[in-house]
Amino acid sequence: MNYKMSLPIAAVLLAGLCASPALAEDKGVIVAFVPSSTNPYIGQWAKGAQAKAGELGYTLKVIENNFNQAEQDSQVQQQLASGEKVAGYVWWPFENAAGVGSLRALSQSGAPVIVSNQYPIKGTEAYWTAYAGANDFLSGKTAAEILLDACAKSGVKCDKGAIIRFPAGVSAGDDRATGFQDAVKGKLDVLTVVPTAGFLEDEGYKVAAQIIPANKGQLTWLYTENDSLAGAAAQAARENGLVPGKDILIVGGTCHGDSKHVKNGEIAGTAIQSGYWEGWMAVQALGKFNTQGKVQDGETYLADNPDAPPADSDPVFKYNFLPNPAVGNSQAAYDAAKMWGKSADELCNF
Amino acid sequence: MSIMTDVSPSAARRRSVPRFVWVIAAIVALYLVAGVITPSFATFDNMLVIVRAASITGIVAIGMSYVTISGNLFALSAAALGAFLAVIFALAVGHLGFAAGLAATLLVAILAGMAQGLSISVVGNPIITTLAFSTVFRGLAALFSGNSIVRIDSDIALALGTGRPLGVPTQSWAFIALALVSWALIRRARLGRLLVLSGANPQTAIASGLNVRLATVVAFVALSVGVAIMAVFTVSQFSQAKADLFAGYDFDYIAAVLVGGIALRGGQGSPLQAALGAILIALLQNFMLLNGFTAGLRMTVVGGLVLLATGAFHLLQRRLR
Repeated sequence: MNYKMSLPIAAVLLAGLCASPALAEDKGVIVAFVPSSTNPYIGQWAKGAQAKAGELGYTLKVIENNFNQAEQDSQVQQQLASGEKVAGYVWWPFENAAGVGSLRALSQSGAPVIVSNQYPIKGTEAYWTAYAGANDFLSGKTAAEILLDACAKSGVKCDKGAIIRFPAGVSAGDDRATGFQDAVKGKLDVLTVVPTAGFLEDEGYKVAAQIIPANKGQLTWLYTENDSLAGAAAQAARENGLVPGKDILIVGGTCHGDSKHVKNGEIAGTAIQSGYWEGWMAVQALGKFNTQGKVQDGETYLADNPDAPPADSDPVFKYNFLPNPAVGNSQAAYDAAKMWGKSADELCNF
Repeated sequence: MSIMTDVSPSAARRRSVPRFVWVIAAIVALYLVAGVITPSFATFDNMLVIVRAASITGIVAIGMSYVTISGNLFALSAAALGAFLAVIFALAVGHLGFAAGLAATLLVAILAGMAQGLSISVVGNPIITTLAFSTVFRGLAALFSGNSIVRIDSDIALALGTGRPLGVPTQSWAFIALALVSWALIRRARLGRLLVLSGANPQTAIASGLNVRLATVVAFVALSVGVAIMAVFTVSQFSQAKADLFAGYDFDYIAAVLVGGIALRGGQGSPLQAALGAILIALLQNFMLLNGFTAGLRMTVVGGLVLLATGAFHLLQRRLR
C-alpha cells in the first residue's frame, strides 16, 4: 500500500476511534480471577462486577477456575505472561492460603489488586491494595444475634445446639463459625461442629438428617452458615418430629437459596449478603483507588442504606466490608427488606 | 460354569463365600461395633437415616454397576449429568408441569446415555470419554440455568421428594425397588447376559456374534436413568436445581461399586452388590459423623475402605484361580 492511500485510511480510522463514545470513555481492562460462576453466588458476583465496571467505563474480563487453585494459579501466570496492560486486578482465590503465591505475582505486576470475598491472610498486606467484600466474622456474629434474639422472643429454651459449617478448608466457614462462637460464648452451649461437603441443600440435609436424630432431645438450636443449609436442616428437623421455630431454632445467617423457610418462620431470620453487591463494590473499590490514588488505613463498613449504593467519591480503606443487614422471618419483613436500592428477593433469590 | 464368573470349575467348587456375603458380613460387623461404641447409632430412627443416606448414592451406584459389569470400568460424568438433568427437570416442570418434566428428563437422560455409549464405542476409552462428557454436561447445566437457581413450585414433586410411605422415605423405596429390578435384569434377562458376557471377554463376545456396542450403550443408558432418578428426587425434595449440584459425588458412586465387590475388569457382580456397597459406606459415614470425625478424616477413611476392599477382593480372586 502506498503512502497516498494509507494516509486517508489512517485518518478515517482515527476519526472513527474518536467518534466512538465507548472507546473514548474506556478506562482500561480490569481482570477478575474468580471460581466458577456455576455457583450462583459467584454468578451474581460477576453480574454486579460487570455492571459497575460498565458504569465506570472499564472493560471487565472475568477469568473463572473450576474450583481449583492450581488452575487459578496457572491462569494468573498466563495473564501475566501475556503482558496485557490492565487497570487492575480483582482477586478471589479458591483456596485463600494456597493462592498467596499468585496474589504476590499479581502485586509484583505493579497494577492495583483488590481482594474480594476471602478475607486476606495476615502477613499478606503488602500484596494487595485493598480488600472489598464480605466480612464472614460479621456474618457469624449477625447470625448469633438473630438466634439470641429469637431465643428471647420465642420462649424456646436455648442451651445446647450444633453448628453445621462449610467444608473444611473454606476460610469463610472458619470465620463465620468463629464469629458465631465468639458472640454466643457463655450464652449457648455448642455441642458439636460438623462440616458439610458442600454449600447446598443436599449436603446440608445429609448432615442434618444424621445429627438431629442422634442428638434428639438435646438440640435446641442449629447454626448452618447459610440459608440453603438451614432450609435443609429445617426439613430434616420436621422429618424428625421437631417443629422449626418451636422445638428447635435454626439460623443460617446469610440469605442464600430458597427464601421460603425464612418467610414462613422456619428459620429464625437471615441477613443479606449479596453476591451482586459484593462484585459491584470490589470494582468500585478499584475504581476509587484509580481515581483517588490512595488507600486509607483501617476498615470501614459501607452503610446499609436501603435505597442507594455508596458513592464513588467516598474514600477507599484498606478493608472495605459489605454490610449484612438482618431480615426478620416473616413475609412482610422480607418484602420490606432492601439494600442499596434492590429488594431482598432480588438479592437473595438468584 | 456359570456365565457370571470366569473362574475354573475347580475354583468355583472351592469358592465357598461369594463377594456379596463378605460385604453383608462387613455391614453387620460395622453395625454391631458402631452400636456398642455409639449408643445413638443402633436405633431404628438412625437405621432409616442410614438407608436414606445410602439411597441417593446407591441409586446412581446401581446404574454405575451396569457400566462396570459391561466392561467399561466406570463413568466420571454421573455427577455432572445429574446437575444437567436436575436443571432440565426444574425448567421443564416450571414450564410444562410435573409429568412432562419427568418425561423430558428421562428422554434427555436416555439420549445422554446413548451419546456416551456410542462415543465410547468409537473412542474406546470410557474414562477419557466420560471425563469430556462431564465437562459438557456441567457446562450445559450452567448454560441452561443461566448460573441461577431454577426453582419449582409443584406439590406433586414435593410429595415425591419428601414423602414417607410406611415411614420410609420415597428415595429408599426407589433404591430398594431399583436394586431388585436391576438384579433380576442382570441375572435373569437376556439383556443382562449380554452385558455380563460383553464385560467378561469382549473379543469372545464379538466372535460369538454378540453386539458389544449395544451392551455399552445399554449400560450407559441404565446409568443415565439412575442419574435421572436421583436428580428428580433431589430437585423434588428441595424444589430447586443449580448447575453445581452433586459436585464431587462421582467418587462416592464409584466407591460404592468397588466396595460392593464388583470386579473392575467387568463380567462379574450384580447391582445388588453396588447397593450393599452404598449401605456400607453410608453406615461408616454415619458412624464417623456421630463421633465427630473431621471431613478430612472421613474422606481418608472412606478412601482407605475402597483401597482395602479392592485389594482384598483382588487377593481373593487370585486365591481362587
